[in-house]
This record gives sequence, structure tokens and C-alpha cells, in this order.
Amino acid sequence: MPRRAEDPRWSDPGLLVLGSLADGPKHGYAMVRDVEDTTGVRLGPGTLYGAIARLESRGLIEALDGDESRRRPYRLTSRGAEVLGAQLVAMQRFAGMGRRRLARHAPAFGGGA
Amino acid sequence: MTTRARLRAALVRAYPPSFRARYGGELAAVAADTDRGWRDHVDLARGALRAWAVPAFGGDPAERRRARLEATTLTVLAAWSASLLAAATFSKAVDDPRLPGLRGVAWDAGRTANGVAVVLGAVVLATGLATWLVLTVPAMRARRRDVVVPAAAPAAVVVLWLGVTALVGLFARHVSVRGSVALTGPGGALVLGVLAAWAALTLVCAAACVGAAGLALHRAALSAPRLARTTLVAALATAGIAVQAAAAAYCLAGLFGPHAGLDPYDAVLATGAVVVQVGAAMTASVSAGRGIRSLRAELPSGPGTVA
Repeated sequence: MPRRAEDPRWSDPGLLVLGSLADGPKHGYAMVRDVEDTTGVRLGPGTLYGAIARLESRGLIEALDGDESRRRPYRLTSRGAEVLGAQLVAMQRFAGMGRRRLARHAPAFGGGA
Repeated sequence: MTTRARLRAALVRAYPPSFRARYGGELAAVAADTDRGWRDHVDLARGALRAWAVPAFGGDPAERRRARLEATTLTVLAAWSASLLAAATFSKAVDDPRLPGLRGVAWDAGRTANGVAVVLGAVVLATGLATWLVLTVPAMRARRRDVVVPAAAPAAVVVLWLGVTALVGLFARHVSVRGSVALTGPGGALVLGVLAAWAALTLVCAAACVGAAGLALHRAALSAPRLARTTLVAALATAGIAVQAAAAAYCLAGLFGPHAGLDPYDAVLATGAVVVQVGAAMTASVSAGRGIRSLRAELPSGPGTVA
């Protein structure tokens, strides 16, 4: 079923950036591509760098010295990994609970395990 | 360069200076690589608005704190300027000539607003002069034209404004009849046009002064301890702006009675002035709060506390 613009969303840009950096450092364009490939969400440049600035100011990610200032890579800090892990556990719990309830009351939309 | 690339570059320039200094190059590169046309343009515009409204500072913690204090100083300076112009407009609307309803508590509130404006002006100008000296003298010694030119610009703008204001005063005296200027009848449109142009010039001059001062402050990259002092004065100024706005709003509320003598023209001017003052007070409060939180975070932990 296609997603509509007014449907509730889970795709917080900050969370998507943290998720993208979970498997290693990336620069901005690589994050855009990775997030689009893995989630189907296309982050605009303003949204991406707004999220990067907020995450960096909270110490959840940090910049690495890149060869070019236009392609600066970022990586998760240990605090960022901790926050991402906690969010993913909460999302997994929520997803499990939602699917169990759907399976009981609307089995057609409950999906497989 | 294509129109699309020019628009993209203009939108990247719309971000706050501290954001551009940290992310500008990367942001421009990613915007050029993704290039989704108007969607990216809207996204960049929204991002720029958000970066001004809810600033986030990257880089190492010391630089983040310095950028936060600089942003607070500049935001409160802009809010104070807007509040000062609004206070003058409010005073013109209700006290020139004085309205019959401006007495009792409304008069006290109006006088409080004026008194706070004068004290606040003196504090801000004294701090501004001290900061200007700290900023300009080393820049002149180092022959840093990028700092000296914007630092000197407000003085030139004020001289220009005073000159134009004197000419407008002479014109008003020339066309006045028994001490009052008629805005209706033959020649009324010309008088109104001159006064409107002068008011617009005043706004442009104020914006130019604040913009140039901000540019000089940003380029001089003052130290965090120096900016901590300007932030404390900004917090004091914020309290003054808030008191001024509350007093003006109270005074205005008292002037909406049946015999207050507030005509529709003055009512619009005074209400607009109060709206600007309240907006300035809210903006300054948010920014000063963030600056003070940043200063408190800098304080060392007491004995026995765990970081």
C-alpha cells in the first residue's frame, strides 16, 4: 500500500543519520544515498545538515579530518551509539507489540514474523 | 553558472554565518550532488529558517560555546534595536501630542517604559562602545580591513541618518502651520511621502547598523570570556526589553477607553509598536536563555559532584 504524506512517520532525520553511521563513517552525500537505499527516505540537503548540526552539538556524532572540507566524513560517538541502540530497542518493542495486536484484531495486516 | 545553481548558492548563503562556517562547503556540495530542483530549494530554505530559529553549533565544545554566546549577543542587539524603534514609535503615537487618556496608571506605565528605554540605551551603548574598542583597536593594528570597515560603518550610517533627519526637520518646519504639520489638503501627499521615506530610511539604517556590527563581531571572533560579558549584558538588556514591552502593552490597554482620544491612525501605530516590542522581548528571552544556559554549563562542578 503506498504511503501518504499525512500518514504517521517514524523517519526522524536524526535517527536516520545515526542509523546510517552505525556501520562506519560516511560523508553527507554517502549518507543521503545510504538512507535512500535502506529506507526509501530521500533526505534533502537542508534536512540532512540540520540533523548533522543537532547531532554534533549534542555529541552524538563527530567529524573526522577529511581530505576535503566539502567531503568531511562523520562517525558515531559512543554516546551516539548508546542513544541509537536505546531507540532501536524501543522501536523493536513497539513494532513487536503493534504486530501482535494487529495479528489478533486485523490478521490481514499483521504480516509475517 | 545556471539559474538553479545561483539560487542554490543564494539559499546556502541565507544560513547563519556560524552554520555556514562549519557546514557551508559540505552543504553546497551535497545540494549540487543531489540536485532535485525545487524540492531541494524548499528544503534548503526551510533548513535556513530552522537554523536561524533553533541554532545548533558544531565543532569542538569550546568553539560551540563561543558561537552560542556570539549568537546571543547579536540576537539581543537586533531585538534591542527593534524595541528601541518601536518604543520611539509608541511614544510618538500616544505622547505627541499627549492623549487625554494618558493619565493615572497608563501615564505611569508609559513613563516607566520611557525610563527603562533610556537606562537600557545607556547600558547597551556603554557596553557596545567598550566592545567596539576591544574589537577595533587590535583589528586596526593588524590592518584587518574585513573587521575595521564593518566596525566603522555604523558611525557613517548614523551621520548620514542624522543629516537626513535634520533636512526632514527643516522641511517639516517649512510646511508646518502654527507648529503642526497638515497631512491632508494640498501638499499633504508630499509631506506624507517625505515622512514615510524618512521612516523607511530609519529602518534601513537601523538594520544596516546591526548587520555591520554583527559582521564585525563575527569576523573579529572575540574570545569566549569577552563574549560571556556581552552575554550577561544581553541578559540584563532582555529583562529591560521585557519590562518595556509589558509597560507599553499596559499603557496601550488603558488607552482603548471611550474618552482616551486614541484616533485610528495612532491606534495602528501604537498597536504595531507594542507587537514589535513583545516579539523582540520573546526573541531576546529565548536567545538570552540559551546563552545563560551555555554559561552555566561552563561553570566548574562543585566538590563531590559527579560529572
